[in-house]
Amino acid sequence: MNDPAMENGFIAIAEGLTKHFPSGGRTVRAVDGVDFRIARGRMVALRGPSGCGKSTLLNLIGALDKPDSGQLQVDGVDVRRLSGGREVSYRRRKVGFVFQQFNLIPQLSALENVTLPMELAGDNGRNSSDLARQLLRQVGLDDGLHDRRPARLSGGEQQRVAIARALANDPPIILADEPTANLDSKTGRLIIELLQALRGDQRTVIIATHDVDIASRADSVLEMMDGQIVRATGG
Amino acid sequence: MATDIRQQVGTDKVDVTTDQSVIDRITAPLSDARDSSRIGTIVALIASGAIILFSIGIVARQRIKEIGILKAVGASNWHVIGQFGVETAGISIVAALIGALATFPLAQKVADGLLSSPSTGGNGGRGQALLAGATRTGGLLGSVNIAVSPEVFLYALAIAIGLAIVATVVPAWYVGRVRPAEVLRHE
Repeated sequence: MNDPAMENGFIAIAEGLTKHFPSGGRTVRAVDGVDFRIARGRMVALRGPSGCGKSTLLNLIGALDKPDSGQLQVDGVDVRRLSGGREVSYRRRKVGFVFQQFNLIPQLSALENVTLPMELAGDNGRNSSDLARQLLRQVGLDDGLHDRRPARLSGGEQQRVAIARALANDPPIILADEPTANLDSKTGRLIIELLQALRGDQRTVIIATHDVDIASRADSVLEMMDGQIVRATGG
Repeated sequence: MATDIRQQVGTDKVDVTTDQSVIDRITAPLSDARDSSRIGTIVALIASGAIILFSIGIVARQRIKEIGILKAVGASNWHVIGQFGVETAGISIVAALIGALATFPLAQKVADGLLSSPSTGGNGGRGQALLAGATRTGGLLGSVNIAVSPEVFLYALAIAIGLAIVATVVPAWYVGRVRPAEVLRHE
């Protein structure tokens, strides 16, 4: 793979990307020789049924898991070669994750959950706190809820906090894994609108979903089946 | 000289006692108490170390999701290990303080008990001799006052911190192996 491809506007490029898991004596081909190119600044939907490999692909892009083989380049970084401090730095600076289960730290307030990635990246103090408040307002969380712990927030509010946390270090890619699966339809729509609003010149949003309606709002759709991308629409 | 006297006069007629044998009788219960305390300390150290080790291991497993989330949002292994280390050290120090405060009032009673009982008699004869010594020397020793010096207190704290450091080795190894995707997938 060549860097000129990145310069030509692709933020993520994969060739022959593979991730298999042993499971109950057999091998699950979660991601099975996937090729794709994702343009910068777009909202991309990874669509397919449960177990087709969407989440695994997001985890590979986010360096939460390591591919078995193939190439994966994200914003100029060869993700397959990441390890140790470079892998940690990549997770801090390059990607922001939004999970289906929200995955907030229960002992921390909404504000503290958002400042956490900043503190981990070495940005401490008042500045990070002010920025976190600003992000929480940006995602539509009332000021009165900033100091509440996740248990005292609704599902939609928790997901807003999770989105603010994903934005904390201003990463170029937001990865959202079934972000509306645990929300009612109205709240889910608001969350998708929020994610849509985040994409722009410098930020790409990749959403894993099985929801056709959400996929229809994306700029491009990669349809997955049995660990492979079977169709790409929208360029 | 004592041996000569015993041989010449006969042990059935006189009881020959030397200064050394008197001292030995007086200090035998103290030596015995010291040995018992030492064994007790070592056993307690091993037991508490094992308890802390297993407790921290269990806590790390229970908090595996939190570890996965922290690593997913950019925490390094050292950050997570450090967090566990600080928590373990904090708990160990608090436990050491509570243990020390609870032990101070009991120390005198434990010492009295060790001095007045034949706790480590190897055989019947030695046990009886120790009992006899303790009974007889009880008056000579009077009341043995147990003074817990600041050095002993600092030793206890140092041991607690040492145990905490050792106890973080297991979670450190565990945290290093955690892949966030694997944890979050299964939780």
